[in-house]
Order: sequence, then structure tokens, then C-alpha cells
Amino acid sequence: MKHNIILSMFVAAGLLLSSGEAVAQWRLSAIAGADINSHLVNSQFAYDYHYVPEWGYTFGVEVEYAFSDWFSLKAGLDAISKNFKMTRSGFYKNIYEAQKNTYLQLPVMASFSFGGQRLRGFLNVGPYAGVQLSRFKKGITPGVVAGYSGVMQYSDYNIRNDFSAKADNRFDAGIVAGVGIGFQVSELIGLALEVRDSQSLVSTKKTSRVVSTLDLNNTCAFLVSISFSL
Amino acid sequence: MIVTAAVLLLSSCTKDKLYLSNPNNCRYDTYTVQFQTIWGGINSCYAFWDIDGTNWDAVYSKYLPIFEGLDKQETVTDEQLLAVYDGMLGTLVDHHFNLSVVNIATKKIIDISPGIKQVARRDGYHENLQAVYGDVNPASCILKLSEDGRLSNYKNSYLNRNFAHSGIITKTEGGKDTRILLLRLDSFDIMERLDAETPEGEPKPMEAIENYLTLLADNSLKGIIIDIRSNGGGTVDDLQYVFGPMLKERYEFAQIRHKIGIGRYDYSAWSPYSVAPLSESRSGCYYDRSGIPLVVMIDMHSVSCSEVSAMLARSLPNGVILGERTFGGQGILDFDFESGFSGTFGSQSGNHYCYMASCAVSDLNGKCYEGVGITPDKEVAFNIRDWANRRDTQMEAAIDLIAGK
Repeated sequence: MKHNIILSMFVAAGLLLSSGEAVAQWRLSAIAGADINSHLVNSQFAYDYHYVPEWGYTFGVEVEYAFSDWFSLKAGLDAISKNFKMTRSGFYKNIYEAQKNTYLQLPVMASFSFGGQRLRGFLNVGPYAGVQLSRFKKGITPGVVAGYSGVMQYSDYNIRNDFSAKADNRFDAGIVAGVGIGFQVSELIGLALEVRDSQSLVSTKKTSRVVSTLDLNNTCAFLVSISFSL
Repeated sequence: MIVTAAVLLLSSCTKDKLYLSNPNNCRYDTYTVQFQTIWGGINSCYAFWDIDGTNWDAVYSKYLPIFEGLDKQETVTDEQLLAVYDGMLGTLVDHHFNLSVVNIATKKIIDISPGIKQVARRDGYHENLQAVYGDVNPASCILKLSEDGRLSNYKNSYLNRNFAHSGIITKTEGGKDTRILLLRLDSFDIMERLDAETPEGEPKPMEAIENYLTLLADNSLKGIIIDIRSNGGGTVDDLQYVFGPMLKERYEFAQIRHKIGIGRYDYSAWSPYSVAPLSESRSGCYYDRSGIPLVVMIDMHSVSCSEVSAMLARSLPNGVILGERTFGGQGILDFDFESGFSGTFGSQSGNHYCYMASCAVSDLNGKCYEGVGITPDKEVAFNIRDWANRRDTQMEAAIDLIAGK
């Protein structure tokens, strides 16, 4: 029974892919753009921690293998910023911490395209895995000056945020989905604009087995790419 | 966005996970919820999770069934509840930590202080100097120096109890002439006493401190002794009166770190912990005493601001710490819970009151001594036999360190 299901899936996939024009080919793309990252936190009772999205960058290279004129597989190696800022309000409004986090991300996406020969829309969707490469943090935190402890003393910092094996989870994985439009400049060269959203499914921190916590990133990138047929 | 919404929905439906409520506002009538409230409050508000070796999740797994079992009992004795909480909290390194909790069955309050129990297990443990003997205490030992003709210009300050003494030690025990300024503080309560009224017939609350500042102007001093043994701490602003007269400008000697999120490891970067020179509030009150030894005396009951004083003294080129390893509670307490959603939570009139540090303190190298204590540069043990005869072995060692035997 199990063998029959697998066989049926292969046959269906073969029929599906062969229904279009046989255009199997490799393409190599360079992508670059800006991204905005939201840090999703369950603040529970600490109502005065506000997590604000911050802009960053995304760039990388991707390879694509087209099975037909409407279906291909893409794999990438991207550097992606997942920045965010924690702010306070009211009496504590001067306190904040902005984190700049850089990840190496490897998406593998099924790409579906539609439209004419030169101008085509496309939809990418698939999983990704990644690792946090570096992080920096800057902010303002209260300091203490003995003699003036009743007066809020502020201290600013801008430092590399070292990883802690006890506290941090450098591994990242999730789902990526994007929509865009491509323009075939020549037989060999294509350009594309894409909006791509990465939703992490792995907490950025070591999670407690007991407490319901959430420290996830959602990153929306606005990308320009140039691709070359190989 | 759809994916994000699905992720949020899934995470909010996570089965068997504890959703943390504000530990200040919880009402309950079961031991299980009391345990979950206290466990959750400490989980979110504790300043030392990256320093503390306690496996807090394992504590939950182990103690949840025990507290659920207490709810099934007909009654729970205070001793039984104390033993359970002692086991649950016994390894926490925050040595300010004290939990006052109401036994739901008996309505009585029980107190749990892991730090006190940890220090009591140290080799050479002795009681607080105020309590070792009824009528022998730091004040009576200082008076003995006076009786022996070794102390001049003596003043003390009083407000409900002795809290400060100052004077000039003029001779070593061996009879050698010297001139050492002594300041003894039972607690860091100077700022609280600045405007206090003088009880009839008693020394003014600030008399010993004013005397210390006057005597500090003496250029013939051979050294300074600040005795803060068995000093339970107080306001950090007092450092400006004790060390500030010897500082020309603001002096950074340590670092502090706040919580900046509800996660267990959400801590800010380290920020400066400084002391302001007294000349900022009293014009001209600066005396350069960097050329003479500054000996700070500590013992195993020196805690909080006393330990911070030891850190400050150690960072000074002429500073020496003498005595015993301190209690191990240098963290700062901020009673405004919402300033960082950290530290002390609950209410003294409610079912639980969890008193603990809001901020961690480290030296300038980033080393945190919480739960361990600060080891003196010159270790001198407390001698209970000498103390019984009003001979202060540690004080004599401090005098000899400055004056020579």
C-alpha cells in the first residue's frame, strides 16, 4: 500500500512537470535588498516592554533549476539582518535596547511562475535553516551614582553581544514565502523584484520547558535580483 | 502574515505550559498556585540566572507534585511547608533573597532565607558581632580602646541604637604611637539620619559622621580604618559620605546590570556603578588621602552596601580589605517593580513577599561575587575568646597593618 502511494506520487509529479514546456535549466541569481524584522515576544505581565521592528539588509546568491516553464526549485545562501528594538514608555521612556542580528540563511523553495515570456509573476515557498552569525546591541540602561541614587542616571552602550551557550539559540529554522515579478532582459539575463517573508519557528533563546515563551523573528525583505542562465 | 498568525495561535495554545501572571497581583487559596506564582515570579524577576547553577525547570518538575500533594492533605504544618520551600529555594545564589509566605492552612507566616543557611555552613561561622554576646559588641570594644587610653576625639551617633563611631586610634596594642582615623558603621543609614531629630540626652545622629569628616582633614594621619563588619547594608548614597571625601571626581569602581525583559536571561549590558565626591554636595570637602593605607574591615555578616564598599576599597590603589569573606549579597534592590519587572515582588500584607535583588553587581572585570562573597586581601579570623574580653583581634590586626607592631 505504502509503495503504491509513493509510486503514484512520482507518476503525478512526472505528469505535472511534463505538462509544460521542457525547459530544464540552471540559473544563478544574486539578490540584495532591505528587510524589516519584527521580534515576536510574549511579554506576559511585563506590559511596558515594547518590541519595535527595525530595518536591516539581505543579500545572497541563489541557484534555480527549472523543471518546466512554471515550476522550479530554488536554493539560496543569504545573509539576512533580523534587527529589532526594545523600548519603554512613560517614566522609563529613555531606556531601550536595539539589537542588530545577522543570520546566514539557507532557503529551499518551490517556485511557481505565471505570465508571459518576458514579464512573469512568481511565488516562492519553502523551508529554511540558518545560523546566527553575529549580533550587536546598543541602548541606554540606568546606571548608579552613589550620592544621587534617587535621580535616574543613564548609561549608553554599543557592544558586540557575545553568545551564551546557556541562554542563546543560534540555530534558526522556519518557513519562507515570497511573491514577485520577473523581467527577462535577454535570453541570458533576468531581473526580478520580490517581497519575501521569513517566519522563524525556533526561539532565539533557550526555552523553558515550563513557561510559555515566544522569541521569534518575522522578517520581511524587499529584494532585487539579477539572474543568469547557465 | 498568515504564517505568523498561525505561529502565534499555536504558541498560545501550548498545552501544559505555564502562563506567567503578575506575581504582585495573584490571589490564590491553594499551595499549588502559591508555588506556581512564586516559581514564576522568580523565573522572570531574578537577577542572576546566568550566574546561578540552579536548574529552575527541574525545580518546577520536582516540586509541583509535592505542592499538589499538600493541597490534598487535611492540614499542612508550618514546619512541613518550611522544609518544602527550603528544599525548593536552597541553592539560589541571591543572598538578599528572603521569602515570607503565608501557610494557607495555619495562616502563619514562614520565612525562607537560603543565604543565611548557606553562610551558616561555612567553616569558622560565628554570629553577627552585635549578637555574639549580649553586652560585648563593636561599640563596647571601641570603648575599651578609649578606656585603655588608645582612642582620642571619640564621638558616636545614636538613633534608637548606636550606628556610627569615629575617633583617632593613637597607639597600637604594643604601645607604639600612631594616628589612625577610625570610622565604625553598624549600618549604612547616614542619609536617613541627615535630618533626623536628636533624642533627648543622646548624641546627634550625624555626630560621628561629622567628626569623621573633621578628622579626615588631619594631614598627620597614618592610615584610615573603616569598620563595616556585621554591617547589614543600607542606602548606597552613604558611600558618598564614607569614601566621597577622599575622591576628587566621580569614581567608577563596579558595574551593575538590569533586567530588560521577562525572559530568564533578558539582561542589559553592564553599566557603571560610581560614587560621587562629597565635594559635589559640600563645597571644599575633599582630602587627598591616597598616600596612606585605607583598611576596610569586613566579616561574614557584611552584606550589600558593605560588600560594595569592599569592592570600592579594593579598586583604590591604597585600599586593603581585612577580615573574613563577606556574606555574598551585593545586588541592588529597587522596590519599584515596574522599573524592570525584576527583583522584589508580592506584598508584606499578602500571601507572599519575595524580597530579592533587582540588579546584579560585578567588579570592573565583570566578576560577580553574588552568593560567594568577597574574599579579603588579608584574612583575619574572628576570635570569640578575645571578643568575650572586649579584645577585638581583627581590629588589632588592622591597626598593626597600618602602624606596624
